[in-house]
Amino acid sequence: MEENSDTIWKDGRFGKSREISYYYDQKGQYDKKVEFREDTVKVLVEQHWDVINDRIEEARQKVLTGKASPIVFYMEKTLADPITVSMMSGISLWRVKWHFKPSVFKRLNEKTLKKYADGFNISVEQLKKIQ
Amino acid sequence: MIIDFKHNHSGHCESGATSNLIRHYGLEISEPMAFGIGGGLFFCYFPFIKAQEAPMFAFRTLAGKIFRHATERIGADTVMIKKFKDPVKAMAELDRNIENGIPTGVQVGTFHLKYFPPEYRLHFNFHNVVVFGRENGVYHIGEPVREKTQLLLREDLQKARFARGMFGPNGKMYYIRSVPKQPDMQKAIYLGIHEAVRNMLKNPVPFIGVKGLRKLAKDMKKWPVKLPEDKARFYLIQFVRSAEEFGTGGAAFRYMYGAFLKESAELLKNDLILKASTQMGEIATLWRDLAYRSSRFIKNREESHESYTILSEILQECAAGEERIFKGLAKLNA
Repeated sequence: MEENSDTIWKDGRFGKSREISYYYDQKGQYDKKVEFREDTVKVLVEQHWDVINDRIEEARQKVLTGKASPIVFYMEKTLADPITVSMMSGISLWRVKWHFKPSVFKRLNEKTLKKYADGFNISVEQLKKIQ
Repeated sequence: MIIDFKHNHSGHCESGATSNLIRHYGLEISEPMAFGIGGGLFFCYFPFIKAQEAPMFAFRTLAGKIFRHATERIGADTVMIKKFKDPVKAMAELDRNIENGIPTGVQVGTFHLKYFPPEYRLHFNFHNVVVFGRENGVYHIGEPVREKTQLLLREDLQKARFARGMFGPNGKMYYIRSVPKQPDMQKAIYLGIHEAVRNMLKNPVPFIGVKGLRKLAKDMKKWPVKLPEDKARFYLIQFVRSAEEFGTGGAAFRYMYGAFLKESAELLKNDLILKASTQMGEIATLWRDLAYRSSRFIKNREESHESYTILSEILQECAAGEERIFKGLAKLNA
C-alpha cells in the first residue's frame, strides 16, 4: 500500500521479492525454481538506468541553459517519448514537439499546462520550473 | 469483502493470472499449460516502431489473448470487457464483481503500481493482475510475479487501469463464470500448438515469427556499422532487457513452452510432442546463452563488430531450431 522505495540492488538482491523461473536440465526434465534475480540481469538494468540517467541529466542542462522547455525534462524523467507524452496529455504530437521550444512554452495558457501536468502527474507549478 | 482466493506464484503475468483464475473454479491447470493452450509463444520485431528510441521487440501475443484463448479452448464461460470510457464506472463494475465473490483479472500499466521497486516502474501497459478483495478503499491484489499478495490504494488502481500511453489498458477486465469439470484436453492442447505453429511459421508479415528472428539477426550484424556506438549499444541493451527482464521473455518463455510440451506429452502419451519438448529445452538453453553473452559484452564494454556477429549467429541458430520444432509440430493432426 505504501510506496515501495527499495531499489532493486539493495543487498545485491532484486528487491525483497523472489521470482520464479522454469529451467531445463540435461536429462530432459523441466522444473521450476524460486530465487532472487541473477547478476546478469542486474548488469543490464544498471546499464539501462545509466543511459536513462544520462539522458535526464542532459535534458536538465538543456532546460537550465534555455535550449529546451521543461516538458523535455519531464518526458525523460517519466521515461516517455514524444508519442507517449502526446497520448498521456491528449495533445497532438506535432503540438507537443512545438512546445519543446522554451519561447513557445512560455506563452502556453493554463489549460494546456494543466493537461501536461495531469499527464505527468505533477502540479502546474512543478511543471513550470524543474528542481 | 475478501474472496478466499489461492494465489500461486508464477513466472509470467497473464498466464499466471489465467491459471490462478481457472484454478479458483476447481480445474487444476498449471501455468505452462495455460500459456501453451492460450498459444502464447510469439516473436515480433518491428524496426520502425520505436519505444524509447529503440526498435520494438515482443515475445508474447497481445494482452488478453492468452486468457481468451485458453478459457475458450477448455470450454469455460467467461466475460471480457475490453473498454470503459468512464473510470468511475469501471471501478464500480470491479467493486460489484468483488461483492459477488468473483475474482477479476484486470489489465494495468506498471507505472502506477506502487508496490514495485522504482526501477521496475516503466510505461509497460500489458501487465495483468487479479483483484480479489476490497476493504476501505484498499484493494487486495494477486500479483502473479510476486510471492505474496499485495495491497494497492483505490486511486492508484484506477490510475493503473487507465494508464495512458501506447496500447493503454482502458480499464480492461475479465472474469470466469464457470469451468467444465472434464474438459477435452487433447483438443485444447492441439488447438494451442497449432496457433503457435501459425504464429511462428505461417504469418505472411516478415517481422513476425521465425522470419522476424532471421530479420533481427541480419539487422543486428549491421548495427555497429550503421549506427553510432552508443546507439547500437542501447539497442542491444533494449533487446536483451526485453528478452530477459521480469523473469519472462525469450529464454524464459521457451522454457515455459517446453514445460507445456512435456506436460502435454505425458498427458496424451504422444512421442512427437515429447521430442519437440526436448528440442525446445535445447533451444531455450541457447537463448539463455545468448542473453548471458550479450550481458557480458555490455558489462565489459567489449562490443565490437565480432561480438555482434557472434550474437547474430546464435540468433540464426535459434531461428533454425525453432523452425525445425514447429515444422515437426505442424504434423500433429487434430
